[in-house]
Amino acid sequence: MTVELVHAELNPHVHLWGWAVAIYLFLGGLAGGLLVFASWAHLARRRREYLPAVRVAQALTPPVILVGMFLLWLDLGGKWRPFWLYMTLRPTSPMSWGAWILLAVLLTSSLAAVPVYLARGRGMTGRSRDLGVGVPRTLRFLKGVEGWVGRRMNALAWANLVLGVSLGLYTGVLLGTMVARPVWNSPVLGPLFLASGMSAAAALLMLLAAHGPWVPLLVRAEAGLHATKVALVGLYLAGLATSGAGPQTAAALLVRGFWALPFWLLVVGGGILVPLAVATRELVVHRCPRPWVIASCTLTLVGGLALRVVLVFAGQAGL
Amino acid sequence: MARYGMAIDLERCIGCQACAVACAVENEVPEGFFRRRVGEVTVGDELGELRLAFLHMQCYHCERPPCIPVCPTGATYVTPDGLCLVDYDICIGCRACVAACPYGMRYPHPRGFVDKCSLCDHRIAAGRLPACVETCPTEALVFGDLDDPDSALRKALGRARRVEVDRPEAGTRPKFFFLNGQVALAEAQGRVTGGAPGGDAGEVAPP
Repeated sequence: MTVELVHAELNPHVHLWGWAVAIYLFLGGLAGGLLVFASWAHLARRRREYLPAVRVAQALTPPVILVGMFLLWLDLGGKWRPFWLYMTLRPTSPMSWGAWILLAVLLTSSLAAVPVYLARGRGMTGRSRDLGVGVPRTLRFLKGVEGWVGRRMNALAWANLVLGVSLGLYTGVLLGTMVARPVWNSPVLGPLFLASGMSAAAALLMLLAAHGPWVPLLVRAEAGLHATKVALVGLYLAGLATSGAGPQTAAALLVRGFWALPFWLLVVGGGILVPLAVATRELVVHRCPRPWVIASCTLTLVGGLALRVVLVFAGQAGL
Repeated sequence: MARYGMAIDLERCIGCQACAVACAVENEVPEGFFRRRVGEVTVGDELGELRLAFLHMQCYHCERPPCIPVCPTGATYVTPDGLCLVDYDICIGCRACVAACPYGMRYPHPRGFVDKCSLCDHRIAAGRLPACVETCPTEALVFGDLDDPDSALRKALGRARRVEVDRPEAGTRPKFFFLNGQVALAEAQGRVTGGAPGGDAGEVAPP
């Protein structure tokens, strides 16, 4: 039997979500992971010990979130109407939750970063306590903010921990709740994106703050997170392969179809298995050549981005 | 309160595309996009037996529309009369609803919002038929109130020998019905690759 569709040109090519959304999903997970690390260090009373790495994490989070929000805005059809997101909260819409989480996390992560930015400013002027030098007059109100933040660091750390996890989870849930797209429609995507975001954050911190007492912790975290990702990717594929015809086609698209090469090479091989092997070796022999660490961390970051790109585009196949 | 729906009698449809043209003109649909389109499908086998089917594609105004809950601003909503509509002023063009529609019946309008068939709600409000229904030269398209036993739609559904909806397994309960198809809808869509031609996948009891 053959089926021939005439007027196939009537099926328009609908642009759904493109590269900007894929990069945003990666940056959201990365920011969530950085927040989790910095908040945990504070709550576990390790902040002083891990200070250089915590400062890097806290300083990076607000710009990463801002770039992500800019990319989201770029992808919006109605460039002048995004304020409507904040006129309502729609409990059934993950995107609505995400919009509010982004706003909240931008606020709390920026507040937590104020002391870091001011310390950086002071460091550059060489005068440890004098905010007046090197900081523009219009920004002097930040000294008041710093005092306010200093008194509420515990509450802020808890808020950042909860919001960081929410941000990482929601980026996967956003795709996972799309029943009509079999590649996306999996409850595993939320935890997978969270684990991927946290491992990307650990990798970035190991690249930017290479030596210190936090490195063994990050290596342990990397090993655990990559192992978790192996399990979650396995569950995700098993979930698709054991469901109906649509999800099975979706699994085939990733496992041996158009997206198989980047999926196996970048997402699974480069993004999970190689860094897992490097982190395990570090755990066993307690040292690792720096080039290996750089390669492993870079691969983790590239793999995290590839995971979002592959899933965002594969989910739209046949639309 | 009404419960508006539509049906296409595939025995009467000649695939002239007048409905798609009327829709595009009435609703000023931009070039390259469609609120309503009609695909033509030839199903054949090696013995040379050919059958023709028309795939009418438009928003089905589902009773359980998956596009509504995902909207982050509440721009897309269902009216008390069962029409699934978009408020273009509130729509931010995020395309979550486009992703959620299992039928691909929504499109991003170049002016920044998402658009789709409104069943010509502006014409219904004025007591007129949707443009596609009014234009159909063979009266194959039928519009009406599913709750009114005397409506043209209920009568057409009652007369039909075969009533199908698109992908009933999606659980969306579309209010657009395919009547008297020579080829089963799933088969015409190429979603059935084996089994007996003319199987009854997608067939539903009249509402």
